[in-house]
Amino acid sequence: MARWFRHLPAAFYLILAYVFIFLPVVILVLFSFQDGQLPVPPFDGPSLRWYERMISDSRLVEALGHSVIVALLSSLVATLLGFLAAYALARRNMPFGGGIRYLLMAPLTVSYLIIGMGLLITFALIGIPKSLLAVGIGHVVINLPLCFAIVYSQMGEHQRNIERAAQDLGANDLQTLVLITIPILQPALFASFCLAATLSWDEFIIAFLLTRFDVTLPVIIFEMLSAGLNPVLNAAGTVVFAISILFVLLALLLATRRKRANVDAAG
Amino acid sequence: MSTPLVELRGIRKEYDDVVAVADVDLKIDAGEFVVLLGPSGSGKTTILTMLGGFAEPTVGQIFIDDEDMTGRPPASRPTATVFQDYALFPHMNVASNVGFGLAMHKVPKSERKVRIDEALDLVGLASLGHRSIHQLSGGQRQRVALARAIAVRPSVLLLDEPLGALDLSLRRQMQEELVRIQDEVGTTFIHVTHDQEEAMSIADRIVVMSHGRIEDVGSPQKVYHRPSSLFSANFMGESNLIGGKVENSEGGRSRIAAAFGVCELSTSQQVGAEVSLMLRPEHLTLASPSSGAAIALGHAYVKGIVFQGSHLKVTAASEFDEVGVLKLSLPAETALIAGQQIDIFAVADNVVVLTQ
Repeated sequence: MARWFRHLPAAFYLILAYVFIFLPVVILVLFSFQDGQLPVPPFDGPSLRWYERMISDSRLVEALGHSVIVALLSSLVATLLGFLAAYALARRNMPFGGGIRYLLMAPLTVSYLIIGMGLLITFALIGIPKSLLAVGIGHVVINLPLCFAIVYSQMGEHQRNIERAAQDLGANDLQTLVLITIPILQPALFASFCLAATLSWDEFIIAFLLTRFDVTLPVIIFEMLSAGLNPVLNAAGTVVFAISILFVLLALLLATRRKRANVDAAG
Repeated sequence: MSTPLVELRGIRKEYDDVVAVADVDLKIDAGEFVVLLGPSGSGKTTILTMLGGFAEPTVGQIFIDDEDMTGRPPASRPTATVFQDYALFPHMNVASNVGFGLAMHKVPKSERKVRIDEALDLVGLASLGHRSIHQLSGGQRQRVALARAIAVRPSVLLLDEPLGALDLSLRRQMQEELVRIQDEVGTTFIHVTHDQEEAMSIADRIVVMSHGRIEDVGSPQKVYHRPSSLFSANFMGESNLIGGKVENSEGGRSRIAAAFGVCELSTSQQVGAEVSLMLRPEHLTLASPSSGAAIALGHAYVKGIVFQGSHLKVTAASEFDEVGVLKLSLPAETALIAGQQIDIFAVADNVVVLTQ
């Protein structure tokens, strides 16, 4: 009894912290099912009418499609480029390898706003119009350092010895890459793809700065928000949130599966 | 003997300003089981890496089968390596691991299957071909790594501390297995280890290394009983080293003065040189030996007695300060008590004279 009592402040603090973190999301999701006209209390009972409204809103559906395309393609490119950079830096003796590595990671420290502004000016200079392509390039710029870091971290000495073993047994560089390196790195590649897709999926600032007619979902939500609160936006926000969670869960699932495999390997 | 299978000529390897291997010459015959033995940083693994083609010597050449290996990538060398961490392919099952090299060498599928089975049979894993690598124990992984390397039928098998990660009993068992497997396939094995017991129990020939140089080469008996350097004497096992000075040397025999007296040994030495007389603990006795020229080492007082089953490990303080504490290995049934005064003898032929 006394012991239970002693933990009370800690439990209270914990609950408070969770409320602080999750309450906004819970409210957003809850009022997407609102049966009234406004996403504010009181809650008038569950209804899917705003989801129906969202699906029938061609601007929202179109933007959702754009977001999916930008997320998938930019993540694919970022993962590919990140892998190539990691492979070169981890496997080849490059002059200034350390410097190149830091330079590759440096964009992580720059805010999206600055990157977005820089891209805006650069694209204007070289004649790339505001478009989904421009956003996609922007997302590759912000996600490449992350993809590089994830893949690079998995290319350590043990992995290198495995590749050496393949070469020792007669495999050439290409065979080693295709038959050994990529299959072993596959969980890391997929995790970096999922993470990049999550970040691209709900990225706003760069998408806002670099689009004009075709926009992504976060941008259209922002535009519609400026016209006032609307439960349709709650529904759209809930979809954005759900898909993000899905990507994160996928990445997490792969990471834990990999960890389990490593535990097996150690045992 | 005909030309050696493997020959290292003046091999030197420098990393930045560190000399990992310093001017090593070594010849290895076909079918030999050679162990490169030395502490970490002695250059033994570097030599193995250069044989496998994962590093190139800074100076010198490596010949295998009379062919210069310089600049040849690992894939086109007649070597196969068993890595310390096994480096198995985690995404393939046991049979695919073993068959990988065969596939790379474009061995037809039907023959591949036969050779995979052969190799797995050889290492005692005949029924485990379909298993995933994650389902294997450390010892089994070690065997898969061995089978994978043997399956490509290399001229030289390179083993980089392959037993280091195994526990003691498994390690002893694998040592016997390695000897048996080498016997069966007849391939030249070059095995790197820092464990001198392991080296003695598996090697045809031991190459003792220190600081990038070869300190000693020979059969296990030779390097243990007649080491050619102080380093080798110390590294191969416990020894007693007694300082002495050469008084006279003529016709392969030398008179050497030590704290316990003057002895005559069959060795050629520089007159006036300071030398060490090396004696293994099992070469010291409490009674004057019945055969061979005996040397009396004087009295000593028993300090410690440790029963080791087959023998007693005894330390005794010599009456001569210069001799210090002597280590003896005596028959288990010897009756001794601490503090007891004993007389210590040795046979002259067992004394190894080492220059300092």
